[in-house]
Amino acid sequence: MSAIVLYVTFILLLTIGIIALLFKRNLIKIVLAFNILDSGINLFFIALGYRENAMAPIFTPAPLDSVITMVLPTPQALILTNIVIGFATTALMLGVSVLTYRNNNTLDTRKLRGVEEYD
Amino acid sequence: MRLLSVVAIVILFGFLFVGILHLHPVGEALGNSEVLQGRPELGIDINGVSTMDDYFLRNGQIETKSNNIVASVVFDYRGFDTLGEATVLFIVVSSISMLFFTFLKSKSIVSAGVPPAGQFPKIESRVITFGSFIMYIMILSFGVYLVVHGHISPGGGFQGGSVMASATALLLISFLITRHMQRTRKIFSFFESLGLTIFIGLGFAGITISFLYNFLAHTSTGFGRIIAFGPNQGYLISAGILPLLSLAVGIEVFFGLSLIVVTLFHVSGVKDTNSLR
Repeated sequence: MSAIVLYVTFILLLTIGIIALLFKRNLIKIVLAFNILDSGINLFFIALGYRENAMAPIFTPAPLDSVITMVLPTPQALILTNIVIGFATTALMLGVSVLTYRNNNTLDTRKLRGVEEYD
Repeated sequence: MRLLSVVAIVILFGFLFVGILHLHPVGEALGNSEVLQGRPELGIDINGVSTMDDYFLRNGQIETKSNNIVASVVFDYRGFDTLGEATVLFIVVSSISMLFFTFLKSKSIVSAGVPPAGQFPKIESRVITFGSFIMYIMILSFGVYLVVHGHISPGGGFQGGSVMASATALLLISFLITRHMQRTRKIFSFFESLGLTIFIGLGFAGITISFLYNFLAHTSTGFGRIIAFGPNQGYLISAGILPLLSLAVGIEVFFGLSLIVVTLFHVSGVKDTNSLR
């Protein structure tokens, strides 16, 4: 069970993010849902490339052994990209949220759409 | 409608759970885990390498002269991807500047807590102002260290640039640069464009072979210095154009994120909401 606990955590984070995206009305909470989705995907990629008792793929602090075990470098490079992209999109979404609130005095997506009465 | 959404989420959850049962267990990634096992002294040898990651681990140090394999993947093997990422960051900063264009152009900005020019801010004590100035220098030094040593130790342009941008936020909360908003924006946007221009220029410098070709890594002197395969202490002048690309990305990320922070700070502090419409 411990072998897949990180994968299960990824699925939980993904599900929480999607539920929040579908059911939350506040724009700020939708931005937070995007962040939770991002974290889940980052965790999934790093868990895919992890090796037991291995070190980071950097040769400078490596021990002088004949056999060195290293984790996979490509998922780490991809997640490095994804973190910056996630930060940038979060900043843009928050900026749009600020403008939306200044113009409409609300962050409720149903009110922004013009629906007065909903279930 | 709500019931349909719940059913869809349950189905998605089930599919994902069945999917992870077919993945390899955590900690047993594919490929040959021993990097140096059965490897000849030097020279490119891809026999016995079954995955892309093992190829990077075994040959990255020889092909890019970089100790940090993640940096060599980010800036050399996937350099074009990193250019796209830097462009995304540039576009986001441009979009935020464009969204608040009318606000930033108006001269009569009354930000909360900012005194008129020539007066010392009364809302903060001198301890906070002076202390954050000292911390600014220390955080900036750490960020520069991360950027410059990106190819031999953990770090790189993106991480170091983000660390330095947090120093800008420290200056903002101590009201040290709030009085010069227009000048700050001009300086930051100039240097952000300069970072991206340096990146693209370095890419075009090796255009005779291909775009973003690591031409300095094949000269065997200077930046192309031959490093021993396996663990070594690392050299600051090595790894071809990797440190230069890292520096360009560091400049771009630092000034881009600082521009985002400065813009959103001034927007949050504005009192006249009509200027935003």
